[in-house]
Amino acid sequence: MKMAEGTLALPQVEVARPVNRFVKLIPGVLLLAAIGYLGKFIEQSISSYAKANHLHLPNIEYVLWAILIGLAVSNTIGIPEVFRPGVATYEFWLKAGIVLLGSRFLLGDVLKLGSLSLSLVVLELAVAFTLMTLLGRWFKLKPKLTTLLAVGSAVCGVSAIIATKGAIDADDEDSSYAIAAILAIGAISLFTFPLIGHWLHLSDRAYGMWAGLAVDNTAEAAAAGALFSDAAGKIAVLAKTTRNAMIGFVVLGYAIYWASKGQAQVVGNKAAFLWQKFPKFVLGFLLISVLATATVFNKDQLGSLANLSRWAFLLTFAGVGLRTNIRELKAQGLRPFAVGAIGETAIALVTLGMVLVAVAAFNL
Amino acid sequence: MAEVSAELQKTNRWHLTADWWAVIASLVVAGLVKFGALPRIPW
Repeated sequence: MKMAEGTLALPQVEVARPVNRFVKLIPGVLLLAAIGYLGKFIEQSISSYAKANHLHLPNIEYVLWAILIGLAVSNTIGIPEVFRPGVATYEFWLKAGIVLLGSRFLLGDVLKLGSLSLSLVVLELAVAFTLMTLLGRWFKLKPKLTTLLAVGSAVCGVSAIIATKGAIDADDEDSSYAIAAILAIGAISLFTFPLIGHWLHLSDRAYGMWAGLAVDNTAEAAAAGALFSDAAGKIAVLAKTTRNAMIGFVVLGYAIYWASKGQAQVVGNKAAFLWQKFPKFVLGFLLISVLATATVFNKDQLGSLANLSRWAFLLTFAGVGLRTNIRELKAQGLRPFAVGAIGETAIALVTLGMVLVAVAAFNL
Repeated sequence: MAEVSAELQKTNRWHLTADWWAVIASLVVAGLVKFGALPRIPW
């Protein structure tokens, strides 16, 4: 009898677990949706109020409202435990938003803009690595912390730092410093990039390319792009995705470097390593773009997919604000932040120069 | 530090699974849109 109970109980536990995990996500996802939608509602309300009263109010995108509301919540009342698992899904919404965004790109555009951004990304990587390595030495940071900051600023923020941490056997402390520095700088870029872009009267394409190349975290890059315009947001995501696709090569390079110094494990199968680190959502983005190019979807369906992508990004932007805790970032110490901030400012200036040259040369 | 390490490993796992889930969910949704199982999505 006991045996029977045991065998009966096991499958129930197995079934209950994923359901339970899924249920735990619901409050946080609803919070993301509520904050995102509130942002959209505020944008629309201000714009209709301005129209009705013939006022010329500046249009503040829902992106900014969603981020500001998220920031206000996480830095005042904080995020209650019940919402946390769901809030962490902003990463999923970001990636789903990018995959669905593939429907707004014909494959030819992806190849054309992607190859242009790929060449700019290669230049940006070289600049970022050199600068961060020099700055790390000047500020006497630990070499592995410098590596993490270099990877974070050159490729794609938090994911790159986490991937590199494992590959080069860096300390947990170093990775949390690097993550905090990259997140703090990402939050600052979010507000400064659109202002500079408008001030320089950049085109949507030029600005989007710049934001995608210079803003580190994918969510922040998408938000910085969308804060400028919808079209710029689309280009920023494409440029950032190209940058993300380089993550495997960069991590592999550093893993080999640290292994040659006897301070990290030797990488066995390099192809398997590259595949493991490759961001798989890039494949989804390309697949949807191929389907859109092959006219698998009609105009209405493409519209629906593009709108689904916008809804997914709406949840992401709410998550960006909610996950940024200013007090926690402040507590991480000044030196890594200073290296990050100086390096990032220089990278932003160099990439802006590169984009302006590309704009002139390729008529962007 | 052990807590930070466990947290990072969890985040790392989630990064990898979020990638695949995003691809699978997007393709399923694209299929539903294609075969008319979803109404027109407004923005």
